[in-house]
Amino acid sequence: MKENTMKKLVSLIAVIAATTMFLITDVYAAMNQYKAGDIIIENPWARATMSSAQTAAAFLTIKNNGSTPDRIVALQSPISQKTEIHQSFMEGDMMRMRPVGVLELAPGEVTMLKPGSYHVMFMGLKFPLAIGETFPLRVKFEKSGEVEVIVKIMKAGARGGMNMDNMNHAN
Amino acid sequence: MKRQHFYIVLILFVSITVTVAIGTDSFNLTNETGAKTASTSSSATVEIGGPFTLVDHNGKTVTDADFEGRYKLIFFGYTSCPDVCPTALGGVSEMLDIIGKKSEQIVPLFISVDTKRDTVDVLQEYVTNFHPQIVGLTGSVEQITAVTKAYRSYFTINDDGDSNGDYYSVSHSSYLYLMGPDGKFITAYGHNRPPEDMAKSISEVLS
Ligand SMILES: [Cu+2]
Repeated sequence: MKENTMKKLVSLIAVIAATTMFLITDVYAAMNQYKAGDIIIENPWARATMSSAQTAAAFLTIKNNGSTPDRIVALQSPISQKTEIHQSFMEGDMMRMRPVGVLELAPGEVTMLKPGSYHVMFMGLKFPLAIGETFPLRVKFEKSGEVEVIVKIMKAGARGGMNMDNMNHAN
Repeated sequence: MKRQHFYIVLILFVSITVTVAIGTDSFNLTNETGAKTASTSSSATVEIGGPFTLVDHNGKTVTDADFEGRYKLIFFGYTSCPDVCPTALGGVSEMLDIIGKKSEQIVPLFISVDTKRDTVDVLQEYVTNFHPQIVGLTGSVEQITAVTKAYRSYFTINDDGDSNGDYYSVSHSSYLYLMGPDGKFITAYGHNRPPEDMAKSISEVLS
């Protein structure tokens, strides 16, 4: 009798564990999160571009939940010839931009690619980015492997932040 | 039997807690956006502004006199700018919508410092992607140099593009200058000033 109860309990735990896993995966998807090892990428978004655009930028949040440093070593997307990490910065009175070879991800740190700071820079855009559509972006880490994230295209004037409902208003 | 119930409740509780914890965690992650940038404290002694002759996004030659009697919010940039200019123009668009009807007293002027790529057609598509009230302005290298000088604004065309020279970047000052109906400088805002904030500040100036 006792053994029977144990068996029931074990199967119950299995069912609940599976449900929990499903819930977690579901939450990740709903939150627009992607995982590669201990790295979590969250909420990738870009702005709609003009028909003649040669460049575009994407923004996302990266969290290194591991105990060792990692870094982004390469990025790739079918939308452009070249994909790099760039940084906007103030120099004197001017806003400038520079390529960042590798992006360091310190353990336990959250790195935000956001307007006015780091961004994924697409050069040699193959087609314009249309509002409401998405495109894939592969991010390769030195230690955590690689992951493909889906970038959502928001309106041209999107400013990021919590209010991601912005993506539905065209003008 | 009772014990079994206890475990069900316990395990459900644990899984809910785990789920909530993940949710909360990511909430905090996305909540940390936007470093606020304070507006510039321009010294009142420096003259900012002056007459200009440029071409608008419909191809019409315009001068400062065409905008007389209205407030102007002037920003220098370029349409291929991937970050700063869309942030600024997105902010201006939201600001106009927040102010509403009264914002008709303001003409936002986006002056391109990238004379090579920003033709009238390019500018037209660009500004209308943001807000119908925004006017795009371009001109000859001389005209652009003159207007940037008048506004103590700077720009540098960088030599960092590909071999075709198609996607070079342009460094530029990123202030939004608020000018009065008389053409006099009132104040300046940083390009990433929150729209609500800018709307509040500008509303106080509008009649
Ligand atoms: Cu860039």
